[in-house]
Amino acid sequence: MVVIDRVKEDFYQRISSDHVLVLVYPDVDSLCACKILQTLFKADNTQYTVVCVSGISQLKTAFTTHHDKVRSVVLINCGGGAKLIELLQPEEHICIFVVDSVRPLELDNVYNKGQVHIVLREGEVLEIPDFDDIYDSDQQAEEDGEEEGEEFFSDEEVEDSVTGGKRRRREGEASYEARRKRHLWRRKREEILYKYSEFNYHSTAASLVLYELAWRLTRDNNELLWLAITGLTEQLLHEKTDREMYVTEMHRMQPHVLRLNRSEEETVSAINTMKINFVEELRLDLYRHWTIYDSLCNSCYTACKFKVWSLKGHKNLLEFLADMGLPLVQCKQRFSAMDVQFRENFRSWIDRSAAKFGLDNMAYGSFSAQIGYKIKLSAADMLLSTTALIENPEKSTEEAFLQALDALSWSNVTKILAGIETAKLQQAAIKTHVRNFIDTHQVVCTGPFVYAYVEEGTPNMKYFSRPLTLCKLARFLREAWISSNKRARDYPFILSAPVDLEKGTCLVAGVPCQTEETRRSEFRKAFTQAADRTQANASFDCFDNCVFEMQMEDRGKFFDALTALCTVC
Amino acid sequence: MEPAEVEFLAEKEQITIVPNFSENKLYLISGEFGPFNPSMQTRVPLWLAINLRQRQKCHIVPPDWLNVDYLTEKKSEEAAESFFTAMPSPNYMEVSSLVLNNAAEDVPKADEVRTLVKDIWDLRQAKLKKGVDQMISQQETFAKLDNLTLMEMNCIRPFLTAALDHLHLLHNHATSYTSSQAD
Repeated sequence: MVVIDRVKEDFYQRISSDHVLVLVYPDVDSLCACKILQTLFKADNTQYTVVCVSGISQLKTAFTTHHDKVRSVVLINCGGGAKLIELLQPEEHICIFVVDSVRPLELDNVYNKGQVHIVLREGEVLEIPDFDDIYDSDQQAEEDGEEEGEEFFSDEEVEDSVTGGKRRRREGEASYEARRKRHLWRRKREEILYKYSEFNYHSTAASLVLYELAWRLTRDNNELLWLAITGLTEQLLHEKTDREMYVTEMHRMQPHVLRLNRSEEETVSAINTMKINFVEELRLDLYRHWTIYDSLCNSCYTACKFKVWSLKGHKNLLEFLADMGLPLVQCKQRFSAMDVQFRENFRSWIDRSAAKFGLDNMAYGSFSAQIGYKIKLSAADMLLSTTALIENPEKSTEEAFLQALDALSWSNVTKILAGIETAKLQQAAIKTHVRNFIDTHQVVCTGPFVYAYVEEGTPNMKYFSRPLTLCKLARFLREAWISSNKRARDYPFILSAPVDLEKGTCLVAGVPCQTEETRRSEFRKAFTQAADRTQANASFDCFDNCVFEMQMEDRGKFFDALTALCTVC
Repeated sequence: MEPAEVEFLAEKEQITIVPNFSENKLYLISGEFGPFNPSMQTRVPLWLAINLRQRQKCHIVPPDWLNVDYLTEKKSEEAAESFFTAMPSPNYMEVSSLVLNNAAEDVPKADEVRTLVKDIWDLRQAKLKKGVDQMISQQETFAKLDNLTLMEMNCIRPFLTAALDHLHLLHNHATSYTSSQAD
């Protein structure tokens, strides 16, 4: 059943009275959503358990371990696309609520009447086929079952054997009509289902849905708003939605920001409270916490525009800095240690010079938060830091998840700052890798798509065995590849990296092509079909539709099959 | 007494809140509070107000004296007098610190208010220390201090009582020594 309008009564009040199990996928949007929900639970003294699940098998284990104590289960960004009732087999009294941004949702979950509820934002419309197109009424199902492989022996026939053949003939015609209709209906149903599940895309972020819930309960404040903004920024920067949708959502957030951050002259608020304001953000990662030179070299957008791995590109970059009027010595200093005049004028200089050097899409609208005099973070900084904390290579997923969750509360903002340092290392590692790939010509363009794979034993390989970072590397590599080969712009990019050397498994991630405006990807379908054909040992466990795991030996066969599949369609 | 204990005693003071939930009257050991209706001001004890504020269930209306104008006046009054002036509340320090720490958004110009309260506190502490010094140097046995709050008393108590004890001990030894010398 779909819950939209009465979110407060149907969703929140039902779960806040019992012990709740919250299952969360480890990415930034779900983490923010989980934190919002936790704040609401704490205020109401609701007991809850949070478990991190990165795949379907983990979801099942978590459920079976905890289900005897709980009455409600909330799934955040996981399980929307899986058949929950079949998979988990919950008892009668257990209610499952799904807050998932992945579409398309599994139709069994949407049309389930009692146990599974999908929580959507108000005003959202689900594009799903009608109930009648997919599901049979019971009567027809029975007759279908009878007809399936057997001869036509109906109850009516047995009864009517007495009355004779005439009635049978009439029935024969009627049943022929009915069979034909059912056959057509079934074919139509298959077509509808195929079209429905063909493309995977993302809709409203889970953190935005839960923020609106908090707003309806009048429990929203700047901290929760900031979490919602971080979730929204992830959707843009991790390319889950396109720019237009991001701008629309941002305009929806503007009234909240204005309402909670009114600064009139008489009632200037204390310096220790969080203030959020609207900012035009540059596509330079972490430049306020790094040196300008490093930030320009390691950010995806600028590095690929200037092609900093080539000598000529590097010179171009230096020319750009000279054109802006920034001495190189200053650029190699930490941003906060630069001279005041350079720091203040940096924004206007970069806007002026960017157009000259072809950096058109440098700025985008975003928000930044400030607490006290020392700590000022932009949404992108927060996002990068949290991603780095979640995918900390030195810790297991669960530990890293809990640490990242901890770091999201503003009393622990030092952890975010530590996360920024890790993010810098990660970003530098990604850029070095991209440079290696381009220099050694390891990127292969095989007709319908472009692919590359990370060799075993490369330094910093530990960063790339997690899905979020792998996708980041794939995007960076795709941009870099496109900057040298314009025609590759239309092709999707697939990257593979080893994840577990003992078991011999590798992770494969797909990134859609750049010209796609709507960010719909067909990776899940294509991957499953190719894997079936080659009987590769692949597990489509992960909730991220563009990522899956398989054995390294099967990789070559898999890519051949995928090429064949894509050239056909 | 610990400062935390003094704060605990101060939390009994009544303060006005604006709840955003609705609830019937609460019958507790320390009294009845409520009923609570959204956007209707209610008087509750400070401990309840702070708890509700932390759970985002209300907004606190700062007491009449917790604003810049009143406190600036009070501060100049305190600076002018050589004795202690009457404070707006016998627990002004505890109330202001609790309200400013937990509900800073509800207090206009919270930073200035915080500075002013601290200034008043410092002035009174300086007077207290001067008074103690005077009492000991002039060897007086009796001092009367009006308008001192419990928190301020609590700050000076450990030092003053211990110091006087020491002085008394030394004095006794000195007199017994001189008397034994005389013999």
